Amino acid sequence: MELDFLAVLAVFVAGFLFVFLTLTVGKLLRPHNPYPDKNATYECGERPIGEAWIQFNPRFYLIALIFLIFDVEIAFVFPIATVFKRFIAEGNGVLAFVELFIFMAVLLLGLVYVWVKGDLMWVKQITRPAPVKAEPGNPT
Amino acid sequence: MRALVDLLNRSFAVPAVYQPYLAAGVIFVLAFVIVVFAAVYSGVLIFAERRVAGRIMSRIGPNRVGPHGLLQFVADAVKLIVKEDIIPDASDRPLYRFAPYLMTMGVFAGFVVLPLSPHVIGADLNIGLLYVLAITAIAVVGVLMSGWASNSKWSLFGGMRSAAQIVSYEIPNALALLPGVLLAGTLSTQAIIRAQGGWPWEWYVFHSPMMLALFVIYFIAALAEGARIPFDLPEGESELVAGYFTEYTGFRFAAYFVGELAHTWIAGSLAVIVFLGGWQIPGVSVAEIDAAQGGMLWLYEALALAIFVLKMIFVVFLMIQLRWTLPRVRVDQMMVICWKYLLPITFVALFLILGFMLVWPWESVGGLLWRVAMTAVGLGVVVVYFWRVRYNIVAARDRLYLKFWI
Amino acid sequence: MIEIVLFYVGAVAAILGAAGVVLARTPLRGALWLIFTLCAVAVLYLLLEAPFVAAMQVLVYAGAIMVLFVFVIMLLNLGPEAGARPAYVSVAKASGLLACVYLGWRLVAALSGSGQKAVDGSVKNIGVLLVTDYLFAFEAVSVLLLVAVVGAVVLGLRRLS
Repeated sequence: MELDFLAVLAVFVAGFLFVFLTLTVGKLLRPHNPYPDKNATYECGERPIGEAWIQFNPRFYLIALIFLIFDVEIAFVFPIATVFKRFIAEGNGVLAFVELFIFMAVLLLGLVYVWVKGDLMWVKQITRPAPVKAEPGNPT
Repeated sequence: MRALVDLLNRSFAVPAVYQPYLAAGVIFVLAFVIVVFAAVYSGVLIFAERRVAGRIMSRIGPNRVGPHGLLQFVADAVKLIVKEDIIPDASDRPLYRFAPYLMTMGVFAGFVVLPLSPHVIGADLNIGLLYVLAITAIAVVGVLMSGWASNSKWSLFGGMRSAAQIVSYEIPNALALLPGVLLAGTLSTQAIIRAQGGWPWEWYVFHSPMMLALFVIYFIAALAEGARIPFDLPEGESELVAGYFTEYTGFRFAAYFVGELAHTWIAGSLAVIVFLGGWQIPGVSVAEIDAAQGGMLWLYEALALAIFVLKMIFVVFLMIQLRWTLPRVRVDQMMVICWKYLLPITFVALFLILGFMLVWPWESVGGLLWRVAMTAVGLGVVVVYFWRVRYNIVAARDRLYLKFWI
Repeated sequence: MIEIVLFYVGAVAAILGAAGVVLARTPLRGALWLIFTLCAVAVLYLLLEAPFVAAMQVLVYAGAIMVLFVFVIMLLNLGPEAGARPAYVSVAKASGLLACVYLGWRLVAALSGSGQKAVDGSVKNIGVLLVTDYLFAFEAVSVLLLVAVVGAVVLGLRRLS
């Protein structure tokens, strides 16, 4: 058991070393001649305007949150999936089925809610009363 | 890994005191083998990809370096290693330098649980499938980090889009693999393969109509996870320059590429393991393989390996062919495909499969009839596929250059 | 032997990572350190023979929640200049240290000499328990997640308009 997970750790280390060693060897071979124009951020040949660390669209946040919820669902469903066959063999298949069904159906309800609210639309139409204050340009 | 440690312990009669050290040594050597395998695989894949692209576009493709251009990837790697490593002044230096590591480490670590044959596997973890899903999630963080640390608008947009895409498609991706777990009753990759059989009607993909649908869904989601065309919008050249690695040069840039290319192996072999029967040899049961000794064992291993690799080539070729066939989807279409089509269909299919398992268990006659019928359907799909390819080739015979070797 | 080495490696890594989270100059570097800590804690879960919890730790925390964190950092636009130190920072430091010491003391007190027998942490056992003993909690979690979805949408709507 520990041996198996030690293999995982070893591959992590090996993956790190793979990139690290290649970069170290490359360091001896590659040129190193930085100057401000070369090290400028790429912006189609123009001088970059301002930082890129801007405020981002909240839509990404919403997607991540919905994803998180379904991810947790996966966390719960996978262990039950491993024993579903055993429940069928013991004659409790219908019971397990109903339990899983309720669990997943409730979560599906969440998806339906998000859908109906239109949050799955990337280009969202906001059909609400006029915003209180103008939103600064939110590029996406 | 286990098998190798046992073999060494037995054949050299290693004293019990030294066995842990031997095991640790074997593990670290094997870790490097896995990493080298992943790196070489991505090199070979880029060659295959460019060559197939050449054929699909009726041109030649790389054919200069080495026999038939096979060593092109070595030349590319050398070129990328000796390129200057530019770190933009405006970037967050430590994060910028570290982000590629996360990507490669996350993807390489996924290789540990992917078997090639009954005994060739890094480590047969009992949480295998979940482990792959979890570990590849680390690569997403690498993508986000690189997008943010570059402090370039293109990188940031690319990174955000990429993360949104990968996390969205992770749900159908994981849920489409769930029936494999349901049917096999385990998360271990080897055990899922063992629960299937060598003949197509013993594969999970032909278990029921829903399973076939889930296979397609898994394939679509895997394409999106690996940011492959038609889902390559994180790095869409025409709109985002190169997406999250716009600012990267040299080997740091290559690290992202290796990660993405190696990911096709993970995606493809998960499809083979869960849906296509893995390394199972037609006509040879798992018990026979387990009982085999000496020469027969090696024969079975070689056969199983060949079968697995053949299936992999088929799946990966499909990915490459799609890449040079389909146009890129828009970002809003990408979201709609995932949340409004794939996810609801996956849920319905899962419910139906749960019911199906109750009505027609795997061993029952009804289940077998379903599987045979579905195999016929699958065979039909394959026949239609080849028929269409042939039709297109014949129709454009005079404009095509089809010889494989140049 | 290997276990003990791994435990110390994991534990030290977790503590170093946690220190990194606190000491990081930009929020995103802090987020990266947090991933490191979470993975180190996953190693500790493995040593406790709870591979499923370890996998979940990486899948849900290091994967999903981290992506969420990064999105939130970007949403709130916490660039490097967000490291400006407010006046109450020394108070926060002192109280944090105090809480840390208290927690450590409680943990040592709770764990020393208890010698609890480990339960079966395998995936299958968790699956069985979820649909038998903890069925109500399991179904309640789905409702909880549903509430979370609704909350996310409501909050998102407010931000958008």
